[in-house]
Amino acid sequence: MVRFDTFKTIIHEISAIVGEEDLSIHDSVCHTYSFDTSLHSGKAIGVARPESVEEICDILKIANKYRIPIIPRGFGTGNRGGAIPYNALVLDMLKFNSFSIDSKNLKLEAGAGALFSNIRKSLNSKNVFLPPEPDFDVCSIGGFVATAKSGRRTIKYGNIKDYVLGLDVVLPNGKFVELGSKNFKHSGFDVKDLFVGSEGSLGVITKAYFKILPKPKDFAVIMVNVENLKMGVELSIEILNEMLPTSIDYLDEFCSKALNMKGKLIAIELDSYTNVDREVEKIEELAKDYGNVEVHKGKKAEKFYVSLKSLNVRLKNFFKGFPVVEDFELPIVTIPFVCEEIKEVLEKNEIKHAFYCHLDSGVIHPIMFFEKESVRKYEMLLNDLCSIVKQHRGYIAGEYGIGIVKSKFLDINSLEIMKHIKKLLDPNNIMNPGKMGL
Amino acid sequence: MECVRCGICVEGCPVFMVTKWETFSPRGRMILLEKIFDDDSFKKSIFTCLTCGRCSILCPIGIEVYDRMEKKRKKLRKLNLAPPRYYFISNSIRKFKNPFGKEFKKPDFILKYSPTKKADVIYYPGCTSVYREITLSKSVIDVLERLKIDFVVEHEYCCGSTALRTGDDAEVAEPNFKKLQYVIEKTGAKTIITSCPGCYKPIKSSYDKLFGGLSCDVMHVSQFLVDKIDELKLKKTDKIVTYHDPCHLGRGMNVYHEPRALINKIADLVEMKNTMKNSLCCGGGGGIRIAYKEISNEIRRKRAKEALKTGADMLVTSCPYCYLNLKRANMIEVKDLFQLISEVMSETIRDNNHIKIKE
Ligand SMILES: Cc1cc2nc3c(=O)[nH]c(=O)nc-3n(C[C@H](O)[C@H](O)[C@H](O)COP(=O)(O)OP(=O)(O)OC[C@H]3O[C@@H](n4cnc5c(N)ncnc54)[C@H](O)[C@@H]3O)c2cc1C
Repeated sequence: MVRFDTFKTIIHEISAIVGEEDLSIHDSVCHTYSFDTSLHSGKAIGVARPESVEEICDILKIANKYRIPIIPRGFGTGNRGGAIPYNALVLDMLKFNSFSIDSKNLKLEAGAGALFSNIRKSLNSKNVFLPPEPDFDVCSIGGFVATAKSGRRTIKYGNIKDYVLGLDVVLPNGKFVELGSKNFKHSGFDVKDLFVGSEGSLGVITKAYFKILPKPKDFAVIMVNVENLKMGVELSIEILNEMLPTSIDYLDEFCSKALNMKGKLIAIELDSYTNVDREVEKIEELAKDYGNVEVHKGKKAEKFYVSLKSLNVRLKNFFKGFPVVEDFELPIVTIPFVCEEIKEVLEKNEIKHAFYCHLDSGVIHPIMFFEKESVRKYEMLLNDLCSIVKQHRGYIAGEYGIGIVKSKFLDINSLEIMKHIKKLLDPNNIMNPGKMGL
Repeated sequence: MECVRCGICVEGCPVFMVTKWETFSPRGRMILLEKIFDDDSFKKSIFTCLTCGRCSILCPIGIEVYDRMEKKRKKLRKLNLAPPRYYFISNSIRKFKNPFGKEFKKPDFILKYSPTKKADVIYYPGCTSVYREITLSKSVIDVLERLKIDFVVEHEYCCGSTALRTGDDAEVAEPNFKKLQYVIEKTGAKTIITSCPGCYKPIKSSYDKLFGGLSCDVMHVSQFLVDKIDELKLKKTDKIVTYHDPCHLGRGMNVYHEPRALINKIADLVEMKNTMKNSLCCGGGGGIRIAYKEISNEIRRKRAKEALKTGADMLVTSCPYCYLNLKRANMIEVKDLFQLISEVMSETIRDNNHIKIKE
């Protein structure tokens, strides 16, 4: 903690940079910026809203001078505590909200504070898309890249890293750099990749450049009612032997109910630049022995994926408490019994829960409900869950990032290298300290 | 239901749209719900909620933030933490029976219809249309007269809406409830109609919860007129208009179609980008103008811009408060729906007379 008179000087200096209007140290403001969507919470000492790269450079210089921790924040919808400040200054990035789409060259340029859902709409109207778009699109471009967020479509289209062509970053020492070639190919050591998934610990992303693709012309979702998760996994392995769908998701009976459907479901998403009819036929043939099959196209199919976005929130209609979602990654064949083991632990601890899984990429989302004040209970439980996942050669954080919640489960060797890199770029550890074990 | 901070509501809040501070967004307000801070931003957060209800439509679990804000305001009022003008308005309603801070003389055309006889319908115009923008209540009366409706006009007390929305106690609205009930019994009326959604919502729904409800049907004038208007044989004009849904009428009471049906009979309707349940507040809701005029002005400019973008000749609404507020933005011609109907009615009569004279 800085001393009060030093604090006053710092605030004075930062205010001179961003202007009084864009700096607040009111307790109420600090409080509203002290959360994300995890169970955790912290304490901001102030919130600054820079609007230019120069302002960020100057703020980081001051932060180094006085050793104040800086937390870049997008929309605060992360669920690993990444954007939670602990006696730190929050850098609200929402003023960097412009974006432009170049559909001729298949490129998108977006400010860190641009909201993904707005970008999605514009891309859509220009008949292009950014394939690894997050399921949950209430997030900023900065948060998206910084958490290397992903959702459906990974198996077919890859991860966000495969689409980032360049990044503009203010390094912790206040120096502005443009990283990446901003073109489709790049030889040599690609430094920008280091910042994808860096969760604000290596600098402030101010702008990102992406590759985008033409939008497929045809699209369908096939819903198959399955008896259990095991059969769902068997079916998806059969499908994956025959073709490459866009995504295969499993919803247990609670999840499907939350979306106004019934029973355990497999949802197979298909897209194509011609049409999906042959694949649909093939899947219907493969799935008929598993259970009831329904094919949806057009608005109905789109509606399903729109409501899927807020699945965790909708589950609150059936469960009391605060939803906490895991994102364990596993070899697909292990999913049924790992989920069983996890279920056992949750039941033993009387935690209400539901399961939503990406059966194509092997990510399972146990969605658990906790009382708001039960961070300790959750942390203890997480130990058990992570050790089950590790036992089965899985990874503890496939989609949502590490933040404060998962840092202690990181592999020691990777963490050591991460620490070296961090030390090099941020010797005073001002950027999001304490997150990702750094 | 507790908020899980998913943030889906944030960008949809007009106050956030213009301030871009989390603190002045529905999620920020929910985070502050259980707290009390001794700073201006805290008050600003709670008292800038427009109570427009747009966030509840967006919320996947339908949390009614505006309702929680009204309760929170009530608590802050008791602690003397509300902006001073709020107390002024509440006192004015109690002392002068209107929120404007002084006594007014009722206009003659209202007195003419005093509820001293038996009648089918009671028209309750609301303070703004009786004391500030009298053409609005006059227009409604014109149309009712022309339709030969058997009606009286009751307007002694303020409905209490502004005070209730800003967290005052139920008691502020009780005199009006009692008076309306008295007039219902005296006139034998079956229906109360009001042209102000700000009055319509409390009279139809809050009075039910607070005092057990009135023994008669309550309608917005648009609902009352929609299946009667054809009798007037109004001519369709060549006007192109866009319609602004008042929050308390649309999202608040689910009245979207009747005003549109009325407009479609007399003009061409083009919709704004945000319409019906997604409609944006005019910036005047929830008592925000009382203490945070700048934010309110910016929101109304935003809304007026949306209206301009449609290419319409004028913006029509069916709320005296939205009307006044949007008119003062000075960006597009604004009319209240009943004013427009009354004008078209006069034109139709004039034209018909012309034809008769010619014949
Ligand atoms: C209902 C729900 C469903 C979700 N579903 C998914 C899902 O399917 N897949 C998925 O991957 N995630 C999902 N998430 C998680 C969440 O949406 C993401 O983590 C999101 O990307 C965070 O974006 P944000 O802008 O809110 O970032 P924040 O929460 O503000 O920040 C997240 C991290 O990024 C850093 N950061 C933010 N901006 C910058 C910047 N400009 N420069 C450097 N660092 C920065 C922060 O410091 C922090 O560490 C879901 C969340 C919810 C609430």
